[in-house]
Amino acid sequence: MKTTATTTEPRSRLSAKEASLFLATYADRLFSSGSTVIRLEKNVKRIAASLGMEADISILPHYIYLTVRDEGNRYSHTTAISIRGGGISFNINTALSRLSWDMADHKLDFEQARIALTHIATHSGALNSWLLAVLVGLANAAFCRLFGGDFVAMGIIFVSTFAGYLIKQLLMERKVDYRLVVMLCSFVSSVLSSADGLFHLGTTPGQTIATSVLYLVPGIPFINSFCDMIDRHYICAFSRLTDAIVITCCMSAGLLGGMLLMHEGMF
Amino acid sequence: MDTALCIWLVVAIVCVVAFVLKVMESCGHRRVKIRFHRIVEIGRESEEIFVPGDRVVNSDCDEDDSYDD
Repeated sequence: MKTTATTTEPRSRLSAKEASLFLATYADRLFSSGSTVIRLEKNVKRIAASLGMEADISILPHYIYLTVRDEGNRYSHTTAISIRGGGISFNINTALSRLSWDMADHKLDFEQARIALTHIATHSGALNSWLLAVLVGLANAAFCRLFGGDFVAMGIIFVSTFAGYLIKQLLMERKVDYRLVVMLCSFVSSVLSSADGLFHLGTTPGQTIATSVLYLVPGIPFINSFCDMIDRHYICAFSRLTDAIVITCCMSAGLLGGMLLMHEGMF
Repeated sequence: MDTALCIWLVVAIVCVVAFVLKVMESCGHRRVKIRFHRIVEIGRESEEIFVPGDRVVNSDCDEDDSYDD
């Protein structure tokens, strides 16, 4: 994190520097957890207002620049923070949004808010990984049914999604590049789901293989990019859109590889 | 043996190995008490999704006065 102070600040009260550092960390966590830019801006400005300050924020694909000024523009401080990234988490999103409202309502003072932010950042509140894999498998099986798959196809989709998701978790824990992870998981899930046609188990092998990779579709980045675009945050929107398209291409490549090797078609 | 069947078997074996690896990792971490988040939780809509008519916050920008997340 790089910081630049434009003037000397008083020590008795909350300084623009302290507020700026806090808000930069807050913005990083909120952005990394999958928030839209409009939410980020509003929350940061809300917190700044509760501290008696004003904040201007500039968001680039990998960096956030935040300038905090006190009332009367006597003291200001600019912080540049690199976005850490990480998984999308609506738990963190919710907790951070709640924190901003608590500060706006003056239920928390600055020190309490800082402790709360550290707690939220370190205790992400993630679901149990096994439970998550089961839930993702069930969701994908439901998608399969929606697309016309039979109950055999649903069972196969559950197993192939569960396996693919476990591999995804294992590779992500080992810091493997996410694009490669998506490609591998897509390949594994598509190959496993081809069992429907390979062993003549069900009557809808096309739907089985088509829906096997749906759990890898980057839905939230796509939605966020369109939200940002509507709000005229074009740089961020196109950055997110490009990321989502790249992930979709990786997913498609894995699916294509699986289909080619297994001599399976969708339709 | 059919090529497709061979590939399927290899992938299935890899998945079984991954499953065993995951189980072993989970057993290794079991001693550490982790507080997981609740599965079902009721939150305010305004915390998750933009809803027109949400709480109004006064700001300098006119566009932002009509709603808030």
